[in-house]
Amino acid sequence: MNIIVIGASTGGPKALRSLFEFLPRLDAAIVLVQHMPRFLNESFRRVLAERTLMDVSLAEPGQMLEHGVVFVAPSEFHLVLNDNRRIDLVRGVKVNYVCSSVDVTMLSLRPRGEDSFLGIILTGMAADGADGIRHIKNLGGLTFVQNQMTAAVYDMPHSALLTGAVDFEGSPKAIRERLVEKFGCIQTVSSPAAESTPGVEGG
Amino acid sequence: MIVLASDDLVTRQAVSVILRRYDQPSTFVSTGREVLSACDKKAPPEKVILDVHAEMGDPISLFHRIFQTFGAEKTRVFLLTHDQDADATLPPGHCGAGKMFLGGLADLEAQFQPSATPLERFGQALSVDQIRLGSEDEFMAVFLHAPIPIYLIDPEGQVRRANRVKNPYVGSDGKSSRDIGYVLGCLHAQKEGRCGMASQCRNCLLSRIIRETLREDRNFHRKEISLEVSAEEESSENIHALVSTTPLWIDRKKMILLFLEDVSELRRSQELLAEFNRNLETLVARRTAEVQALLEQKKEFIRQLGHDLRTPLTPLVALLPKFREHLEDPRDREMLELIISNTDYIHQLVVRTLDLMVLENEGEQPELRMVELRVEANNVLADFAPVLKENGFTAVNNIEPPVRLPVDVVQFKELLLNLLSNAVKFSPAGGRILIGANYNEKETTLSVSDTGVGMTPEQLSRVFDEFYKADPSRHDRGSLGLGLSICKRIVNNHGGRIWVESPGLGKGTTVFITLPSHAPDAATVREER
Amino acid sequence: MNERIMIVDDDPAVRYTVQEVLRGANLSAIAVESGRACLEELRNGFRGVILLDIMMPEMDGWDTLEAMKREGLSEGNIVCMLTAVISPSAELETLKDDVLDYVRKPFDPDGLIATAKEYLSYLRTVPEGDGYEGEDKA
Repeated sequence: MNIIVIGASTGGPKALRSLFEFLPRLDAAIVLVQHMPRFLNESFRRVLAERTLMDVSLAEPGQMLEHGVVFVAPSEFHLVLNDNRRIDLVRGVKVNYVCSSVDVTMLSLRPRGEDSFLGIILTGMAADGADGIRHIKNLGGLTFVQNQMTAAVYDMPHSALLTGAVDFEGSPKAIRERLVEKFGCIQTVSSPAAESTPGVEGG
Repeated sequence: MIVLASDDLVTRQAVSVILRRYDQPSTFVSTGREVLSACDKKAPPEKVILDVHAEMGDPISLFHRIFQTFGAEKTRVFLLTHDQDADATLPPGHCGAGKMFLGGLADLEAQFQPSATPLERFGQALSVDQIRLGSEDEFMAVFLHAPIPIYLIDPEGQVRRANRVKNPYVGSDGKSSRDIGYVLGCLHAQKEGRCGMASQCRNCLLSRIIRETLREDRNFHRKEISLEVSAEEESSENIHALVSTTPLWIDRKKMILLFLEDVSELRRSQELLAEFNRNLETLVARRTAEVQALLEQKKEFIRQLGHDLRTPLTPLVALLPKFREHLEDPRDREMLELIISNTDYIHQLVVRTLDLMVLENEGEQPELRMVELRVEANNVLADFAPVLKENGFTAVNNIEPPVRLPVDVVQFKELLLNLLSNAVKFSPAGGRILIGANYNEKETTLSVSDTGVGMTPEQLSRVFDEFYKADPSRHDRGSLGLGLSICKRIVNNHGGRIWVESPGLGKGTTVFITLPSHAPDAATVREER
Repeated sequence: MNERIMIVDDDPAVRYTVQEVLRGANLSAIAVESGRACLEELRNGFRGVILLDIMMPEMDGWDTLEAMKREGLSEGNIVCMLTAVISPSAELETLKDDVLDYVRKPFDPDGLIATAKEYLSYLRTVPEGDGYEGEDKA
């Protein structure tokens, strides 16, 4: 399975807009952690869903990862992947002053068979995601960060960059190109499994 | 020639060791009488050493015969003893005009030691209190020319003789007295009329030394005393002096010879030094805090300046373009474009100047990371591709083979971007840019060459000045004159060098950057996996 | 009614500029000159996109954010710092969940319009009843 974890904070919505604009259904599952107030979760999901051809779901506990679907981590929970497949939501203390924390999600990935990983850190304050990027690199995954020119706040990409474990640095558009290049598209128009997921209905 | 008279084998050996050590030719005899026959009258021995414990007959008559035979000026007699009480066998006053010394082996050795100053030898000689000084002239010469004050004091504490003092008997109050305390300017002695009478004198080392030298026949060697003396305007100050004393018989009267070395200045300096050392730590801490505060202030100033410059620019940058839609007259539109481009220029200037200040502020420690030079250059070229394309430029990355070196990635990128945009700025459209590198064990030299306008030697010498523009008439907004000075800051932060070469106007320019291949030991480099 | 924007800035020129730029895109914004006035608007029921200056006398942007949270006025609002401060200070770190964006002055007018529209589009889709106490006043 191909698993992409994207972390974003301050300035993230605009960066994600460029990254997801007309993004085809990738042959990969995306887990997205964007720091935001909780009341925005559902509208954030809706806005994202309007932009991309992928299905976008607000993550629910017990959901299984699936190619072609974006899982948005709900605020006030840490999203943990169980065995790289099953989503657990942990209501916990803030990590790096935030909940959900990018690090927590990325660090929950484990080596498993043919699974391949990609970590992406977009704009944001401080260093959430840096440890996660190092971990993904250790798992043999790829790592991208947003470049300084396009980042509203460069701290998070910079901190990740300083781990020395980053493969590529570029604008959200450039990152998008690489995603398509790397994973390719799923030909089927939509995934029935994603539509039947209870989390999509919001709440 | 030195003659030793001793019948003791051990003494002979001990003396011969000393004499050999000082390269003194010597002859050994067993008895005092043999001394006379051992030496030629015409070549008198320099020194005759008589072992007090050897069979010598009447020592006094022996001295007389030695001095008569060889001449008192030429031959010195040294009485060697290891018994300090041997003085008793030599009643004073019978030595005639000869030079005679008494002492143990150490005293004998001291006679030859070059380190002994004339004054010290003089003092050693005088310590033999039983022997009268042979030549008063010689004594006076040494006495008067000694580099330190010397006082001859009688048992009543009155100064009988003094050297190096203009009027030795006048105290600092102008009254005249011969009392030693008075002469030295001691406040208590002046008040009481003589040394040792005031209550404070009980603790005074000077009066104790004088007392004990007289009463106990003791020598004192460089004991430090402190005297409270009157200074100008009724104040007082402390003088510090090293005092050496020796009892001395003169005309069968016991006197004191007192040497004085004023060390007041030395002590004052030492006290100041000690005080300074005590304060140094506090001082350093205070200064460090001050510097910290200044740095904080500077940071805050930059923050504030940035804020204050950017805020008023906001309406200009945001609102001016709105007029584009409203203006019909092409001349008005032209005017507006001019205003907009100048506003943008000020905007860029503010941003870049503040960047420069921030770089300088935080510049001391770049965050070093090992990077692949070629890959890094390719990343920057990719970022820069739109500009290159727009101007019809080709850029070639010739860096090969792969080399890794420690750089601050953000600063390095800034550096390359600056160099590339300079190359584009100063080349006609359709130019070529070449990036190359040379390495050795110690450093990596990166070069960025263009096919542009080139530079004169005068321009080359100024390119790193802040706000310098090779052609001051150029007012295009792309050029701020800050690019290369920013580059220089960055290269300096990395401990590298940067320079520019150009064969001349119209012949292109090459910027060279040399960066260390290894991080300085103190810096830690995050190693890429 | 959710389609509202508030600019909080002590500089009248900036307030005017923001309003003018947004008006050009048919967006209306109310402008207030202090954190205190911003809180007052929120108490009166304002919900929308808040463009919040950082360096302001008396009560700066961070203080204003803290006060919003304290008084329960955060929900339903999207906060975007609009500031001439070059880099965000450490305060932002603890308020990461509450600040969605960070725009520097002087700003590009099209960029500001895009930002405002982006966040307004989020608010349009907020379902009713999801934390909207005091909505009737607005």
